[in-house]
Amino acid sequence: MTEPLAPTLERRLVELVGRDHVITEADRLLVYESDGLSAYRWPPRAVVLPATTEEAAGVLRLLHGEGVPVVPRGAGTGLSGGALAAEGAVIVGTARMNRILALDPENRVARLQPGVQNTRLTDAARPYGLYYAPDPSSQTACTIGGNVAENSGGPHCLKYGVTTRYISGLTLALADGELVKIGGAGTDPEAGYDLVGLVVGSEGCFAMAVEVEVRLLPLPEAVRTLLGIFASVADAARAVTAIIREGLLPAAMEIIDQNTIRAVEASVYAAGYPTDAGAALVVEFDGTDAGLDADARRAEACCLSAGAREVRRARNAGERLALWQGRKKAFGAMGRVAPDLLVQDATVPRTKLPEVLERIGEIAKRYDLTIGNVFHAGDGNLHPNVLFDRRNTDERERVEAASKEIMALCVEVGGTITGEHGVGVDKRKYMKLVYGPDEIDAMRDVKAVFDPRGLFNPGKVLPDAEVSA
Amino acid sequence: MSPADVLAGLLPRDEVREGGTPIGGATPEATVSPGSVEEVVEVLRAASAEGFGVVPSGSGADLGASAPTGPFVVLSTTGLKGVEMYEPADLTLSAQAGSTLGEIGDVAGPHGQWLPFDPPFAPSRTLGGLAATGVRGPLAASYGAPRDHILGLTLVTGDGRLLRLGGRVMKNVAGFDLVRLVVGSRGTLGVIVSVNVRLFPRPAHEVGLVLEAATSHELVTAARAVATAPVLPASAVLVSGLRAEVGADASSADASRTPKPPSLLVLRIHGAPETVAADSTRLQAHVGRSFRVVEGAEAFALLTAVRDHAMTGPIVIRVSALPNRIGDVLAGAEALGDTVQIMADPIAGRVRAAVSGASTEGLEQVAHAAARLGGGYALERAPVGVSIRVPGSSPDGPVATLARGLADRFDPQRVLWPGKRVT
Ligand SMILES: Cc1cc2nc3c(=O)[nH]c(=O)nc-3n(C[C@H](O)[C@H](O)[C@H](O)COP(=O)(O)OP(=O)(O)OC[C@H]3O[C@@H](n4cnc5c(N)ncnc54)[C@H](O)[C@@H]3O)c2cc1C
Repeated sequence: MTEPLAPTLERRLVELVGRDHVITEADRLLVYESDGLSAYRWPPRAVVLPATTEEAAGVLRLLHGEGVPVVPRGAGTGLSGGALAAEGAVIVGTARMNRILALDPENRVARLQPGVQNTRLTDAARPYGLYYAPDPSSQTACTIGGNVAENSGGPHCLKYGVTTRYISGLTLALADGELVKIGGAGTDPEAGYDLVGLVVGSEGCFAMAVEVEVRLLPLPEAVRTLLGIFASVADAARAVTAIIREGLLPAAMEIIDQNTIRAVEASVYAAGYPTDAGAALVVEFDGTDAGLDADARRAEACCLSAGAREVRRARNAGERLALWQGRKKAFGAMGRVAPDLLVQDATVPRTKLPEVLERIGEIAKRYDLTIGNVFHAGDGNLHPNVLFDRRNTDERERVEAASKEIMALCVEVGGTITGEHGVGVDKRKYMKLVYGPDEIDAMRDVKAVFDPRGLFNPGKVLPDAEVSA
Repeated sequence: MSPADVLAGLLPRDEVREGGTPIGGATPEATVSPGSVEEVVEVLRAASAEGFGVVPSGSGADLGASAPTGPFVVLSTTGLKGVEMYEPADLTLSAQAGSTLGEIGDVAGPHGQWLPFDPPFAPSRTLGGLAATGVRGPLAASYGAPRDHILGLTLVTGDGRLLRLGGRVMKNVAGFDLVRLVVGSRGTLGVIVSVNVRLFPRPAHEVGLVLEAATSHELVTAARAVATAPVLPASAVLVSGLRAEVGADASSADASRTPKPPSLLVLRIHGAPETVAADSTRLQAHVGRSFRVVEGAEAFALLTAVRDHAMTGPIVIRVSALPNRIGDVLAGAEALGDTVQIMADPIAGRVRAAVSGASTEGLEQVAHAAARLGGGYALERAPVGVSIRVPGSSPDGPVATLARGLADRFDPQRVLWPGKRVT
């Protein structure tokens, strides 16, 4: 059990944000002891919930004064343990920092507090014919602050790019509570270092984002959605490569494998995917209506020549939702099959997908594990999902060993250990697969420039000494 | 020993020459073009040990207007050439930093792919220079900036460490994003020796849509309409002072010839033929004007001229503001003199002006007006002695402190770009 806060510190935090927003009771801390990655449970010493930039800065200043480490936290949907409190840290949550501060359709930007949920932003922009492009599958829950910290992706990032492309400015609160504004619409993007780009993806290890400015895009006029049914994931992956070779740029290309299809079809989310299929591939085009039918026809031909036994085309919005259903509900459905689900994440060059998927299948067999693959195929971003039971020590060890082999495999073929979920606690041990000591030192150096005392999110990302709760 | 002597002892004879092209009026002690990454490491180690400065240079097109201080050498990457890996089906390519965008286009073109970057004089720029400056052209409106498509790079830091940052895959969040820090750092953190980029399928069809008016002022409303249209063109540019015979002489700042050429709003639309037709119709309907359509070689010549326009006056100033203030910025830039060439991007909210004889005060006025609009500005080119003071920017501010901290970590002896203030 971690040490409680010093009474004077607690009192001053309460004075700043109010009694209700300083959480120290064990039962109320329970929800904060893990995030979307269920394998770790680390209860924080306390959780503080500021509502404004000034309150957030004040909270940091107080904690800094006592040398207490800090973990910023959004919705806690992260899948790498990034929002867990290691080493006696206090969580500073953004749940109350949830206001959209300004929506400027003239300049296609919006300013928001970090606790705003991803879809709320798009809902607010839609009346102006605009939307926020990055669409993580968790978008109805996760926050913009979390998206910024993880540089999150989503199915439509194949065409539109990930979070970092859409963040134009940030206000940061540094560890001592100093506020720093970086970037901002209208400023010269070529003047000075791209500090915004550096901070996006820093997993709460540099500073806390207390205000975020995002770029919005005009809503596409139309979409076309296809679902290809294949005998194997390798065939589906070959169709993906054929579509890219054809010179097409779909908005999304997502693969769901047999284990996942079966889980979905056995759940309340049943989407009508054939359960004897080896894989399903969702391909979506968006943009100007006029060109889309031709694109869809060409993609359909690519699927058929790669061996698709059937290609379905959505004729209306309802059918589109149905085709997407199996993809969107995949994690949820898999999660119901076993007590625990480890959502893995890695990227490989797209052309290596068939080989890598086959080898992941072999690894699963060797360790006697069930792995379901559902992933952003167009980007080569894999999510091998491993089913297990946390209480079964032997199984947990096999999951660990298989994960390690999968990571090593992805790196071996020219890929990397995480494409969108981040390093967090979980993947620190794999960092040395991709970087040498000089690169890791350079990352440590950069963190120290922002956070000289090492108070932000200790025990994350960098493969330093062992950390514990 | 002089830097030239030190380097002559380290590198093959034909890679070192004394002197070189002055930067902001300061002449380098020597210009070196290392033929390998190891040699780049040697040069930076020697500089850190001996205390001379190093200014990394690609094609040399964009070294800026300020002079390095103290003795320095120019390190040119033009000796580091060649595509190291190209996998068309992955849309990824890696090349050494001295490879030009034109050379990369020649490799990717036959596969129907391209790099959608169009800064001024794009084909002659090096890939390393593109990464170092992060410079955007009009296509950034629809494709994003170089920073969005540089997947990884190899950097030699000021003290000669070799860092392999990022990777070769489309999505990568392993560790902090040092690639983004390096892209646009203009040689102050290290020498970029190779770059991995994402390519795009080359669009099947392309047209230019052109609207003409006597002054740029008359095109502002149309340009604003484009920037808020429900369909994004590939790029939109407003130019003035561009001569009709663009192909022959796009770079002349000489406006003594009359009459004054018209201002143009040029939209680039590309994609499948039916998409191009539909987008063209929609954009014109939204703007409420009918544009002249140019295609083929004519479109190519015009788009190239527009891309490179307003780069060759003795003074080139770049001003940014929120897109809805573009009219104000344009008016300020036009007022710099009679002989102003303008290239404005209404979607990005950026204006570039090439002026043959503006006063420091005139430039400061434009700059301050931009600052009041919440924007920024930079002198891209200026004669020795012309500079603009930046009002209100404090070297002790938190952003400058962070920037200095970063430069100190990558270049502890601060040999890179000696005297340059990092921000
Ligand atoms: C079902 C499911 C589907 C998912 N799908 C995707 C997907 O498609 N793509 C994808 O990329 N991810 C996906 N994720 C992962 C996760 O949703 C994202 O990483 C998301 O961005 C996390 O946001 P959050 O608000 O929950 O952040 P948290 O989990 O609370 O925190 C994540 C990290 O962000 C930091 N952080 C949070 N707020 C701030 C702030 N204001 N300032 C600084 N640091 C901060 C935390 O310290 C932590 O390191 C999925 C997760 C689930 C459970």
